[in-house]
Amino acid sequence: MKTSKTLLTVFTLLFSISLLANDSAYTKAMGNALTQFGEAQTIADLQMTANSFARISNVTPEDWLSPYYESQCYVLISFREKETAKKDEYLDKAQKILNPLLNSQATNSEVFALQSLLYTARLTVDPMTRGQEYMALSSGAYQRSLALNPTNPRALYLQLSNEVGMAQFFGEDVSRYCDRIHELYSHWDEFNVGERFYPNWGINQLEDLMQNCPSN
Amino acid sequence: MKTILLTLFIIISLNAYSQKVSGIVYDNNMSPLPGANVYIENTFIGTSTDTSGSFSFNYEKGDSLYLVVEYIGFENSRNAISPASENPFFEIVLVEEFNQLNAVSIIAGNYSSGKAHSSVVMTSLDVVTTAGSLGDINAAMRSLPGTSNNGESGKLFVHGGEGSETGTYIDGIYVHMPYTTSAPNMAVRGRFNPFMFSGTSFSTGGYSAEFGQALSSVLTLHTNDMPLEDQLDFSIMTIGGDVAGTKKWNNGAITASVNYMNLQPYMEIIPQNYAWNQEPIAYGGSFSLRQQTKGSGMFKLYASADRSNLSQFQPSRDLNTEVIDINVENSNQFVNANWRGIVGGSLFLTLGGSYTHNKDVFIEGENQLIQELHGNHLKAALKYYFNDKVTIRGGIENVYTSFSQSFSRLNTEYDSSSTYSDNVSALFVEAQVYTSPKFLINAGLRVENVSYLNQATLSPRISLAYQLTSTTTLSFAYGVFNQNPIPEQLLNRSYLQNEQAQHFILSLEKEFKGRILRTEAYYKNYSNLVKYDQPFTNSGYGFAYGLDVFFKDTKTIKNASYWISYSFLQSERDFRQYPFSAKPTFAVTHGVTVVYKHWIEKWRSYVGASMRYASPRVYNDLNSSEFNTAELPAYTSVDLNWSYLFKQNIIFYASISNLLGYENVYGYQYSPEPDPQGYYAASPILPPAKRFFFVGCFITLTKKGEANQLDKINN
Repeated sequence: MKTSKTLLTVFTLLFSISLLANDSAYTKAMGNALTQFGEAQTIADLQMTANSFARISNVTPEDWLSPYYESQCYVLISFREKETAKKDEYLDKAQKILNPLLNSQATNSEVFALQSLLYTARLTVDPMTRGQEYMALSSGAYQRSLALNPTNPRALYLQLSNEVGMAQFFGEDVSRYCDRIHELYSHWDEFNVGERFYPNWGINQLEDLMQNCPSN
Repeated sequence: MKTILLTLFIIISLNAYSQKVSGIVYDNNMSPLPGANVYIENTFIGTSTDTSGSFSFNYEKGDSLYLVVEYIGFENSRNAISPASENPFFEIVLVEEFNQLNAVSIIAGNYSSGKAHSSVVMTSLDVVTTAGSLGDINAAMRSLPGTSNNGESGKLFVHGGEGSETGTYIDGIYVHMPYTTSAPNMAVRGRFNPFMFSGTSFSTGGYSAEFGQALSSVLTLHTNDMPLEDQLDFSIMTIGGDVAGTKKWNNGAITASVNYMNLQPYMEIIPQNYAWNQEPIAYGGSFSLRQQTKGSGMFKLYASADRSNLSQFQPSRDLNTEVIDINVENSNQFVNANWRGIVGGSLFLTLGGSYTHNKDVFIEGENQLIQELHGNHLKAALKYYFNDKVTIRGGIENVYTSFSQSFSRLNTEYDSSSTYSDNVSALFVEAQVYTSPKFLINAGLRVENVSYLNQATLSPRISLAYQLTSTTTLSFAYGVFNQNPIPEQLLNRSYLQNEQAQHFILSLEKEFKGRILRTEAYYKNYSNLVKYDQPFTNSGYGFAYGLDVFFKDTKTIKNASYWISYSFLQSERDFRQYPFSAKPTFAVTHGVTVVYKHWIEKWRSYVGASMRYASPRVYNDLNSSEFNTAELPAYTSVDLNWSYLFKQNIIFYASISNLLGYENVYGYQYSPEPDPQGYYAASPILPPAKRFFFVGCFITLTKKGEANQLDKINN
């Protein structure tokens, strides 16, 4: 009886250790990958960051954050890539990684915000011929994101960015968007809540958008 | 407790027996691959290769460890790391992933647009914004090489073939009546709105065994998939207007539209070459349904009903009386339905059908001609992917056509009518094999049985493509093509046989950074052409050979794209009433088209210009002793269009055809009898007017107000 109890304790302990080890390995790997992401500048940096996230998601198939970031890395690579065909190749890769999340994370607002960003990236490859289709797809995706979480700051940013871009294109005054831009900026931290490793990008892009507004 | 700690210690120290793995990753050409992902399978342990393709990282020894290398566009590599090896070193060569989208494609005779095919030379937007095409898909296709401009017809004349030798398909289903009806010697237009289609494949020859009953060319149109949102479109044009509404739900959508066109106000303002009793009027409606079905299936249905009417004064046949009133009425009903989906694993099934009823009534003075056609097409096709590299397609189909013609003279007893019905039943099979990403072979066979003529035909087809370098492709196509004589010849002549053509096409395409240069040489051999002997025979024959050059550049000029098409054609035929083998009237020896488009961001305008030139065609001058040697003037036209994006959902559009007012003549009509001096009076066949002006406004309403009709600005 005593032996079996000891054995049980040993196994429980070993099991917990291995779980902890795995979780801490995940935490460590994610922490490292996100640091790497934060420092990434070039296509090569982003490719390596994408690889780091890929290694994590290979081991933790139920995790949505690592594929989310891997996909985002490829979207960012496409923005930096010069060659049209390669841009699309990176975006194909990004979409392929994102696709399973659209199903498994069907109520996750962030996933659709990223989808919206991806469609915008497709649009910028060739605005003249893709403008209409991808503008609609991009706005469909951020609307779905906002339906799931009306204060998702990234989706709100993408919406503003689309609307400002449109207004600029039509030579309209963009200052009418400034109230909304400032409002989102002031609420950013309040809206930008989430668990550990949760996406939090967007503030820098919003600041860029704010350049269009007179400072006050 | 001590025991446990000891055990743990042993486990940990065993685990911590660290090793270093290192190596270099190369691509197929043995160039180092930076940025490849290298890791131990099922662990977090790994790294990326550096700029020299090298990697190195520490791992812990163990049983059945695998080193995995991944890189975008390459197949994964998986290598066992032996538990015995100390600090192992790997040299890994990644193999490029096979991807049909990146692999070589058949280019011989193949001009595709939209996303349906990899050989994209024209985008969907190109199709509708080509100046001078006025929203007619066929006119846009005439800016590609291999086509001959025949202004009096409006149909597609390809590689020395006639308009009737081009077949039109929508989603793989045959279209019996792809053109509108017009007065004799007045150009027809494509019946379908270009906005319905997301892609267009235009073949100048050597096409797949899937298509039959076309001697020269097929135009295959791919309808749009699901619309993105609910919307309401309005078009207000100088010649009419239309309204279309789309309602979308989760996995389906319907679109309904009505259109009305009346050229009367326009033709009263702009001087016309012919007088009109009734300027062209057309009206109709269409309905389309899209429904996703289980799995990834899609059902599409399109139905339309149209009527048109015109009444024009033309020189009378005998040219004695001054003019004659030609009244043309058309009514057309058309249904096209198809379903495609996966029926298990890698097996794709397409089922489709169409129904057409078309009635034309021509009244020329006292004479009335009624032509009526009932047609349907049923087709089932299977596509099986053995693997990435081997695809087999096969199908069975039946095209039914019933054609009747009756001729009567008003106020007399004279009335003659005749009818024929025909079933063309066919079986086709085709294999597409990539022996490597650089070499593709597509071989097929088509067997047809024509019930009315009681004739079976066999049409082998083969096409190859070989990638010489990463930017140069060589392609070859060969095929035998059979087609029924035209309905007017078939009436009461079930003893006739199919006409036949053989195509040989050699094509070389070079791509350099946003520019495509394609040259295509072809030879075409015609046999069994109908000859108007008494009785008719199939003893006619002919040939056509030539060279097509296509250059498209989307790079050199910022925000602009242009293309240049040049077609050289030599052709002779002995057919119909020809006394001997002679150059046919529809053959154009040298054809040049230049299309230019420029996006001016500051003005939010898309400006297009095109120049079309066709060297003189021959005609048969009845006052000359020689047959088909007289020459028409060369055809020239300069066309402009301007689309202005006023608001994101409002577009203004204007265009002018034949800006410089060239005097184009499409032929001569002769009096059937000479005058007492033995002279045949002649009257030129002219376009309806020297120039054509068009102004329109297109409005799209959506809930979000973002969509517009940018890709439909050229209606």
